[in-house]
Amino acid sequence: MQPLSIRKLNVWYGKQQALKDITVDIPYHQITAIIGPSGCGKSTLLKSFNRLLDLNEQVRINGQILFDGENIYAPGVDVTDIRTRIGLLAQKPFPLPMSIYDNVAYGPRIHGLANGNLSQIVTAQLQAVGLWDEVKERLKDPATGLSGGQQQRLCLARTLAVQPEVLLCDESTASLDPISARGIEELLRGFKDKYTLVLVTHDIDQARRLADYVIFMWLGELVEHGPARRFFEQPQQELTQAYLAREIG
Amino acid sequence: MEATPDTTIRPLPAKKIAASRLSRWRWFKDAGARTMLGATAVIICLLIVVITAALTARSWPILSAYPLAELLTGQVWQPMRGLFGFAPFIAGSVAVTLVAMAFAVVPAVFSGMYLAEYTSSRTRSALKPLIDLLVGIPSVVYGLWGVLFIVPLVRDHIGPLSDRTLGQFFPFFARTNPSGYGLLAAGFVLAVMVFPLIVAVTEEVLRSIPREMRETLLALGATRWETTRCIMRRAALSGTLAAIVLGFSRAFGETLAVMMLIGNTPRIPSSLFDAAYSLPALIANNYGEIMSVPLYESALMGAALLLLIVVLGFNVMARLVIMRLTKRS
Amino acid sequence: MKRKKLRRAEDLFFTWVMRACLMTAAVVLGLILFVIFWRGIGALSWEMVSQPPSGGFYLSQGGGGVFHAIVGSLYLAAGATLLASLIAVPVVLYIHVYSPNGRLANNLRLALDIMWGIPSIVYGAFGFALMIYLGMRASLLAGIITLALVVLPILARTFDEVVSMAPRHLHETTFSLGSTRLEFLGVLLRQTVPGLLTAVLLAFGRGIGDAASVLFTAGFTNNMPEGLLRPVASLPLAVFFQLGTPFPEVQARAYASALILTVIILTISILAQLSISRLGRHVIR
Repeated sequence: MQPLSIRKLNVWYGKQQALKDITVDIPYHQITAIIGPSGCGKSTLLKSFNRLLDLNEQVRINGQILFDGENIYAPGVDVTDIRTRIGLLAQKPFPLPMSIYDNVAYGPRIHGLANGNLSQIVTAQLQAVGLWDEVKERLKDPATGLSGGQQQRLCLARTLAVQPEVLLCDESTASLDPISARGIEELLRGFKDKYTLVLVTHDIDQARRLADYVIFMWLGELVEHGPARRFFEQPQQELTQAYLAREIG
Repeated sequence: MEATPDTTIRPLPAKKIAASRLSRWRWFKDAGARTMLGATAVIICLLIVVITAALTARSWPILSAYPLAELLTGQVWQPMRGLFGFAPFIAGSVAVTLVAMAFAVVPAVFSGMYLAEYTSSRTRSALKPLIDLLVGIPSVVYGLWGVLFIVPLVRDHIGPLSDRTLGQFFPFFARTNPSGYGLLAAGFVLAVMVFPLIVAVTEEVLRSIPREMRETLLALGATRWETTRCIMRRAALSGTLAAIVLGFSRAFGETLAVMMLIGNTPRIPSSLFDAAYSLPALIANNYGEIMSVPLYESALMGAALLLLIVVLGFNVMARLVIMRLTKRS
Repeated sequence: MKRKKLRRAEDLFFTWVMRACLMTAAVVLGLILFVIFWRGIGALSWEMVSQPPSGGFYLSQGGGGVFHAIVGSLYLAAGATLLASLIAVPVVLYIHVYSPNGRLANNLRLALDIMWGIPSIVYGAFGFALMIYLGMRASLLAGIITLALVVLPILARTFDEVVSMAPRHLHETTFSLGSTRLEFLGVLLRQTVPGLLTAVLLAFGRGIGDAASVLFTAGFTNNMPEGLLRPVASLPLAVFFQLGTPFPEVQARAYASALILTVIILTISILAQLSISRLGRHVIR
């Protein structure tokens, strides 16, 4: 069962083609890592999954992305629904300009998920990301007062609070210090049995540590993809071998 | 002067160059231009102070002849008899501005939101000339449009209708003046005039909100409207208020259009249809008679000073808020 | 499910509310132009635009037109724009060359923004006060000086925006050739001339339309402009004064004068738009 299937996806920024004919399946309840040098289109691919690419008016997209068998780029699809079911953890932590509590509560509120137990949801999500003990005394404080690592965990809790099925992470540890980054990594590893995770990273070691499945991109093209063990131990393409040996990139 | 560090690429310090290869003349020109232009920039900054000082000096005779409270609260304006009560004009200006804001604020803020959050750059560049044209139309043309179109509309249709319905219950909506000239006509035309300003500033403020906020909200599955509302409430509220304040002060100082439509009757208005008199109109209407009556010129300069102080207060507040908001990005 | 539908309906509703607001503005703009054209075209004649007034112009039996006011307005606006650019252009370039984000630059921008908000009647009063100090009478020169104060912030701020769009590498290239900052200022000016044109047109348009500032300072006359130190007529005031008479024939001339004014403003506005879009093509992003 594949929750996300990409079929012949092409993306252009203006006249420049950013993704060329991508066809790949994202495995269910595993961690998929999209790797490649910067500018290879890995973030573009990730953001095409929840249609955040649409925000950029220069962008032209054709091809299909099937989510639960339904093309998310078909006309008449409810974009907000797609974005609810496919959550995103951004590159830099961006707490909304409101309190810690409201940051987590915002999603459940607008989606009407609370049914009167909003604070239970908030508590549960903050516990799930290991932030509860650090912030329980100051839930009403502005979220911008937290440290970088705390902010990113808060953003994770905020994303999880809308109960997504897929979680996208766009180099979500790149802007953090190594210890906070490891913390986030541990959390993501633990989420495997609940969510399908897709993460973009330029850090090969991180992909080695976390990924079950790897997609390697190069200049907008998909070079190689496969289960992590096979990908790292017996890469099929010369380009992949060179990249893993850090000769290129 | 250059206390804050900036990242401009700079040439070698002028003196060092002068000592080495640069000819004295080029260095001299450079330094001379620098001093002169810097001085001009400082003078422009000080211009506001100069204007305030000059108006204060010219209005000093009347300010020293009467206590300030008497001038501001006096209800009678009869310069011949030495009575200089500004209250009717202040009330008229405030009233007509409030009417204008009542018409303009909501549509302008919504339009600004639409331009900033909902349009592609192509739609925007199609809509922008519309706003620019509204800005460009001279105030006398707005006034004439009011005379030819809005005044008859108020006189023949809106006035009688309001009098029959709301006017029966609220004196504020009673048609006290059959001519059509008055607060409603002037206020409506004024609303059209300040609309583009509020739109432009609201849009600018929303544009300065970091893109990540929009993306974060949308990624949580918020609709466009929920995203806009959250940005508005959490990040852009002070800037939008500043936009409204700017609109208010623009309306407060508008002269010709208001003067042509407000009816120019110096009394404190109590109904939407009352004729009134605004501060700028007071100045503009009476400039011809300035010389013949003692203290008259000084009184009109006092009116200009009052106008300046109100507008400056609002503008400084609003601009500081906007500067702080847009600098962050 | 129900909630989802409700949210979608709310989203759609507000989208249409916003569109309706903009559409209302467009309709009002259309109405303004329509009313001005429709009422103005009737009284418009070649005589109106080509001749100054002749005897009894404001008493309905006179002939002639508002040529004197058209020329007067052009003189006033051109003079004011020229004077304002002579001050604004070097200063704006200066702050960009020496310290685009320094304290002086930010203070200058704040001051200009605030000056933009000062009503033109206040500038008029200030100009009048200045005239009394200098012992001047209402004249073209006094009008130009006052109007220059009105258009200075418009010109300077618009030009400032244009200059800040100039490509960064211009700095590096020019300085690496060993230029002084003054010489770089010249290079920057050449680069931003098309944008300067936009700023000048905007200021010029505002200058032509402004009446409150020239009311005391430029005076009004029925003659063609005669010199810098003589009073001069202006188009907005011509509209205003003709409208103020009790004679329908003269009022009709006010409509025609307003139409002439509107056409001039529209032309300048369109030219400014064109210069902006041309500029867009040359800006390196």
